[in-house]
Amino acid sequence: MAVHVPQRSTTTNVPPALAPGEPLLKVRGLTTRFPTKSGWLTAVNQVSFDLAPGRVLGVLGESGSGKSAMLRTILGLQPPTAQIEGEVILNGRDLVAMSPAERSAIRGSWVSMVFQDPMTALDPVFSVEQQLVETIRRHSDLSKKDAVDRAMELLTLVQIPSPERRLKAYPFELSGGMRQRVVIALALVSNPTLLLADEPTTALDVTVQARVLDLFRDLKERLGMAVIFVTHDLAVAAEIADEIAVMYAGRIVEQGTVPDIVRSTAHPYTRGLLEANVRPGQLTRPEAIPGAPPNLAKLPPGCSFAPRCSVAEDRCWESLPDLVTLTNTHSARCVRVARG
Amino acid sequence: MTTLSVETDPLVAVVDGDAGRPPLLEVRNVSKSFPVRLSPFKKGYVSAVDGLSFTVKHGTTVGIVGESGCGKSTAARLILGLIDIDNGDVLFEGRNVKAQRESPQTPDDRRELRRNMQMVFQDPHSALNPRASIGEIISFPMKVHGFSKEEQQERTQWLLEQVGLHANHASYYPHQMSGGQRQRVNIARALALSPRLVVCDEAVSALDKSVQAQVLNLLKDLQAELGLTYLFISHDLNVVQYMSDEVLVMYLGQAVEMTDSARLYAKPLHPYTQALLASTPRLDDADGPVAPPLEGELPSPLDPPSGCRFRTRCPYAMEVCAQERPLLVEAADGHRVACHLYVEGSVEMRATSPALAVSAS
Repeated sequence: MAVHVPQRSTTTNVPPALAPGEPLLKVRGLTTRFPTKSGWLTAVNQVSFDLAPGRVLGVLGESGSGKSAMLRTILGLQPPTAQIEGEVILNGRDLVAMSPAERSAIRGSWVSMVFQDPMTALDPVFSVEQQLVETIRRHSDLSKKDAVDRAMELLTLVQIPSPERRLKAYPFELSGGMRQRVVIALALVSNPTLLLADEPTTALDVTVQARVLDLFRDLKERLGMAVIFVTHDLAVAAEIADEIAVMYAGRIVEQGTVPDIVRSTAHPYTRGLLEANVRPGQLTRPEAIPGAPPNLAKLPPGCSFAPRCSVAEDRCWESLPDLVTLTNTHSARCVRVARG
Repeated sequence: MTTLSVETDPLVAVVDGDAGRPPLLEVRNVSKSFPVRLSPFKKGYVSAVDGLSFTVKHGTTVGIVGESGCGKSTAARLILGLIDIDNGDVLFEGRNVKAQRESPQTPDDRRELRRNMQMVFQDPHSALNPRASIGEIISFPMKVHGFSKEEQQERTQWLLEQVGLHANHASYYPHQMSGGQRQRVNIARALALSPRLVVCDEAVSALDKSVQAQVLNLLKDLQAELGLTYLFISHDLNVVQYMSDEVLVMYLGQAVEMTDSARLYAKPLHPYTQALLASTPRLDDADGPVAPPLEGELPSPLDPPSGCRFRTRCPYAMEVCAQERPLLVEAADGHRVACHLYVEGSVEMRATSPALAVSAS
């Protein structure tokens, strides 16, 4: 199916060109804290990574591991009470240091986000056309008629069958998978160079999930954008991502390519996740990780995973392990890998 | 690590002792449709469960798997008698769950039935009263059924231990506990009256993967210790397969395939089961992602397709599929499938001529 890939000229806010070999996104020491009654809660803790154009980073973590908070911090969506430190350099510009007005101009044009629940991400009282046209005109100077044409193009791009009919539909008339495609179309309005996806398939059935994952792969190849794909499902991350970052208690504990994470697993938490997963056809008992994730307002002084770790030693409780580089693609935050 | 395979499962002994007794649960041709108002003058019916039949033997687990809207939760509610059955019968230990003209139920009968069938709900957060302590939550069913104060207290302590919590947790409130702990409380409450059948409706779906394994293992251990029978409902095929002795696959309110879980994975017969298996993302897939096999959308249950309900999305759909509803036939010993591609006694797909095949998209 030949689909016309829209030109970047429809965007008023074009990101500067990248030098060859330069990462699209550089995150350095990103920390987000929220004030609570019991003190500062560190949701994102010293997170650093690079993302090259056209690559997919899968961020894996359980609820409360800080993965969504990290996406919101990158997008500048945290409340003003939040304390944010570190750098988020996108196309050579630091988003953290920007004024809210500057950041707002970049949001939705260079970088946009697909949310988890396609029902709440769409406005129930406006048609798909109205929502798309509003977003298109917010980010370009297209006439209303041209914006409708562009909306059609976008619906075709996200492989919605009979787009002319769906354009007039209201969200409640669409199935969950269709709605998520509309949400993705909204995120693609201004050809972002970076797409943030927060559990975009978690609310979907497996057969629908398989097709939405397929769409993400197709869009990535066609539009060449970089994607940060947040999920709690290791198998989904392994299917969609080029690299995986495993988060625990706000920190990245292991990072590497999909084979690094799945086959040469280094961190006990990642190994625990792999073994806790019930695989197709499995009849043996899954090995559960004991306990529950720690309270982010009262983190233990050493490794945050030590209280649940089956191989923890005394020194794990004493100080935070460094992120140890194992190969040029693989690193892990565990004292045991440093030794071996 | 203990290995629980189908052969060495300690529960098999219980199953063998089943001879002569009626099965614990027998669902016979149960149907339910809900009225919906399409416009102020037009009423329609959503067929939620249509002609569902299966049996659950003592001490075993039957899993029901299917996507949202396939009727698996409605099936659970019908079995528990939480909603009325339109047609068909649910027999619990040979007794009809629904009151019959020939066998009217007294309130005591109904209470007895309820006591023997309990449910573990999906969402551990909303299933617990935030203003009651864990002890009160767990002992409430016992209070309703007239246990003495001492009995209630003693049993609550025992139940907390059984589900891997501490006796001190009785004084906690739900907000002080993690999701996994709350689900343990849910399980303890379901076990409070020592039921014969526990229905787990998406009991681990809301939990994180690391905690999910803890709860699955707990359910298996409790079954082995207490001889429980489970009806385990989930959309996650991997989990259902691990938990169950037999698996029932549902699509749009109908059973499309039923067999033992190892067999279902090794040789799925129905095209829908095959598609479900192929859509499940997997870690140990060396070939990388496969193309998603299922096209199209789930048809509206207001107006289900004629004949086979899956035919609109089926890659093998033939003319006969639109005309006749396929019946569940025994393709192999203990392997039933409702599909025109199979004839009784054969697990080989009938050759379909491409001329007959209707394009799914």
